Amino acid sequence: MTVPLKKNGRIKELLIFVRIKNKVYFNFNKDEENLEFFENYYLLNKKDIVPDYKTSDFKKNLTAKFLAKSSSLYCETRYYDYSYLSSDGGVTFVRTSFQICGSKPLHYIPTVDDGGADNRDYGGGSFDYPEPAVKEEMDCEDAKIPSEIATNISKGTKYTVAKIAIIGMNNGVENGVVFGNVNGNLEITGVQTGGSSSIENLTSSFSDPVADLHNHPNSNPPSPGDFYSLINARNNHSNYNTRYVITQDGTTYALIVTDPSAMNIFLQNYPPSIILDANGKHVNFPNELLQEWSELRNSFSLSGALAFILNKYNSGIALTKMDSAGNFRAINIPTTQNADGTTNYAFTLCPN
Amino acid sequence: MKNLVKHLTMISIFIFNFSCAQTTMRSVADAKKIDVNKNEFIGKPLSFLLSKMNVEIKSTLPAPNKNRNEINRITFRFINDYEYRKNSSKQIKDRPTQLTVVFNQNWDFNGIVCKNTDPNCNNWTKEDEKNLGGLIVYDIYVLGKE
Repeated sequence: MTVPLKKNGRIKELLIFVRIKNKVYFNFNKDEENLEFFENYYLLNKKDIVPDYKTSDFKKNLTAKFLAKSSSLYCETRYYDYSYLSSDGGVTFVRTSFQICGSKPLHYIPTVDDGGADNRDYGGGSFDYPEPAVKEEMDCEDAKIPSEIATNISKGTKYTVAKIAIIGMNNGVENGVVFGNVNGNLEITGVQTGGSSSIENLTSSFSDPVADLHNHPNSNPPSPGDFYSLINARNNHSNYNTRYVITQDGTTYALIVTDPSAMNIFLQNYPPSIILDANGKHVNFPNELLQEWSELRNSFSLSGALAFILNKYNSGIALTKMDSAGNFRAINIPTTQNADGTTNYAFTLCPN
Repeated sequence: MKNLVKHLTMISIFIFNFSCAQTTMRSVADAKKIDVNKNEFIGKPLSFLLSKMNVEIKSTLPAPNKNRNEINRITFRFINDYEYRKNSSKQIKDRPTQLTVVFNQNWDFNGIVCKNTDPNCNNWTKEDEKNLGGLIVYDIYVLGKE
């Protein structure tokens, strides 16, 4: 067994346990390639990892996921090697690997450490770790599968029951439920009541919560607070990927996790601003992002502002909106630049 | 003795003036000084800060609006809204300087968001100064290139 040891958010060394007969031995390993293996593993989107390229029914399993939407498939295998002295005095070598495939070329971390400074070379120049990426255009493909999951849940009976119960509260505040996977069946908690503009910490006893739903007693789309608390929920439960919000006028949105690794890099780069007062906890973007978000709310659209920020700063979460057919589609905000430097923003929904 | 008294008086006046010195914004570049010395303004009415800003405010961004009971923050800009929007492709830190004042209310931004198509939203008037001047400053931050 190997335990990566982290310091300042980076894997610095590996603690390796080896059982030989009835004794357990341990040692430390700082091999750069091995550290890189774990760095990559933790940064990767786990859903893209495939068990074994050669032996699994990899093509059959992944064709729908990757090949159907792209003519190219890029795969790479990463290895983790270590050795230990056996009881007979010989050396035993152990190799572990994982493979990742995607429709785009893969980007790995080529070097592990630079001796303590917090700058790393990712092959294209150095910058503070982790990279505060800025994206120009949304890739609708990234949101396709989690959007489908959000749609599927919303078309089930439990969602309908939850929605009716929440709307039926009609108490002028936020009310919500959590959806959980119980032996393959979707179950819901009872309705939980929050405040007039937030509902903190929707809770459940589910071991595998997968989504939640709450109302906004106004026409506001999901807030930055909704976004940050989904990050928190996702980091506590690996299948917690969806947060539905129903507004007073019936418009329904869902925040969906599209890339957990990017989500946590975003969280490190843009931790929330939290204000506590008599009315509770208020969670928002840090000032710089809040400024951009406010500007877009003022000049463009409320939901468009959030969707734009989440995509531009590669937050790993997308804002979707339910269309007239009941399908959740990611909100995509393409921009065009005018000759005078001003920007035109367009509100579009990704294809189903 | 006369000279000693004279010198002490002059030193006292100098010390008094120095200790009462307040940060004043005489140019856009001075906005950073307001940020650095924000403690001089936090806890005091917005009108006090405005009295120290000797640079014309040409546009504002209130959030969510200018309602005295709903405004959580207001950004003052020293160029008009159109000139500011010409920089929209740049990162916030590379855009023209803007000074934001935060008030301790409505942290969830409830209320109708005023739109920049409404001149009452983005212009700064004497009426606004009168209406919002009594709000107590909770925080100040400055973003932008200068």
